Amino acid sequence: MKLPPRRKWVLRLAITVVLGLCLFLAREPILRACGRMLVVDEQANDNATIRYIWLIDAAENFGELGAAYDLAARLCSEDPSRTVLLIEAERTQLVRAQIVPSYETVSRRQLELRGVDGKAVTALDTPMSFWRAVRRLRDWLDQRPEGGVVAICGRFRSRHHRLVLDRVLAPGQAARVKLIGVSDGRFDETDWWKSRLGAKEFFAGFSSLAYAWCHGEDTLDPPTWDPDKYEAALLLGRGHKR
Amino acid sequence: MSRRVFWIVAALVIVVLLGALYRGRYLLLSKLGCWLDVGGRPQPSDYVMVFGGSEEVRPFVAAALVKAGYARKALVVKIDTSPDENARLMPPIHEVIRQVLIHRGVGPESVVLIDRPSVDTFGEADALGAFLRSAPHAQAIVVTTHFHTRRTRWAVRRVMGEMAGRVCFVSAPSDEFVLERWWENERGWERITSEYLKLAFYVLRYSPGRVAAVVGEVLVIATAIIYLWSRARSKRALADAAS
Repeated sequence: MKLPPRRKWVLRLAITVVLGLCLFLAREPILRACGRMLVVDEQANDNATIRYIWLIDAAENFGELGAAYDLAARLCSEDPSRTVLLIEAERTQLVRAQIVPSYETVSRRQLELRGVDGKAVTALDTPMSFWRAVRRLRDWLDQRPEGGVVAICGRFRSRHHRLVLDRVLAPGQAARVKLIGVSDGRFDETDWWKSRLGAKEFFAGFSSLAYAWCHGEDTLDPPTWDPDKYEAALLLGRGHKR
Repeated sequence: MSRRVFWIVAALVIVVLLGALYRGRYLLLSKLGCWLDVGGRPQPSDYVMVFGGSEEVRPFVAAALVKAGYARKALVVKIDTSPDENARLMPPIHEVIRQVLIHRGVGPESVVLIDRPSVDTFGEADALGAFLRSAPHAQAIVVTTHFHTRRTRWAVRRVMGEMAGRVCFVSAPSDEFVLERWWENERGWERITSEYLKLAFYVLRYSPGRVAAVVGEVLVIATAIIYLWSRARSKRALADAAS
């Protein structure tokens, strides 16, 4: 049956309104599903094989993830022969000026507060991105063919990290690494849209995953910035673009 | 023009447009990044204010401006940090900024802490507005990262109205990515895309009246176009039926 144009528009409008209403009513399950898309939670099947605990995202959040340290400390208390691995980002201006402690210092202190022996912590040197950190881990694991790794990271970064691990490591090596995404405590995938921080973290996780998926590794390194040179240029009147 | 010809022409136009967009994608992406940067040359002022975030660069730029004589004092707004355990090991952001300014040679007496805790750009703009209202003839330089200057300027203008003319904006560079090539770096991608979202959020959140007016205008125009188009179609259908 052919409808006259005006009735056709009314019908289309009604369908749009009903669809919009359905989306609105189902917003919570939809948002939860979006959050779950970013989360990887791979509990190791056999805890006895775990030899190394890699604290990943503490570098991103700089010590904010208390839950990550709690989990690392618990795994260490189960088996004190385990090693906690830190792969530190490049030392920043603030660290060099001793205004803030380094990631390694903060992490060691956080672990110490939870009863982890300092000897159980190993720090590797300075990658500029997560991709380079994974390559550093690959080289490190090459020399240690036995034992599994539990990698602990922020919940909304875990899918991104899994993708990078799978792309950089050989399949056998990637299978040795189990990822556990820990929650910040203030939000997780079930309620991220209710807080500003949750929405920000969700977007950051989604954005970095999309980038890694579509583009892969960075093709341009971050620029180096020297405050002394900036100051000299400013005094010469060249510090600004206009 | 028959319906089929219309669709062929429309498809061709779309293909040509997409092709042009693809060819000019680098220029377009670069412009998208640079559009966010509205920073200019510093003007001699009384104060330079460092907006929170990117402490690796912004306070260093502010210190350089004080040392070069562009400002006499530096303003730092107290940032409201959550009381997590990290606070025991890390100093609060405003303290980090203060320490950097002093480390770079700004006298401690020249660093003014505005005790008006804020959590975001709008809150900091609000704190600056309150400060400048108490100093009626003072001028200020706002230092923030290049991609953040447009939103900061928007917030300052929104909070301060006419008084915003007393504020100039200076872009601090980023140590994370190159603005003209932001899409080549994951951090740049994350920052620029989220900045556009935040800008949209700010307009919706803090200018709802203006947004409602624009949406209303668009709806009226769209309804008028749809109405005229459907009327023309029914007329044509009637004419076809008659012939």
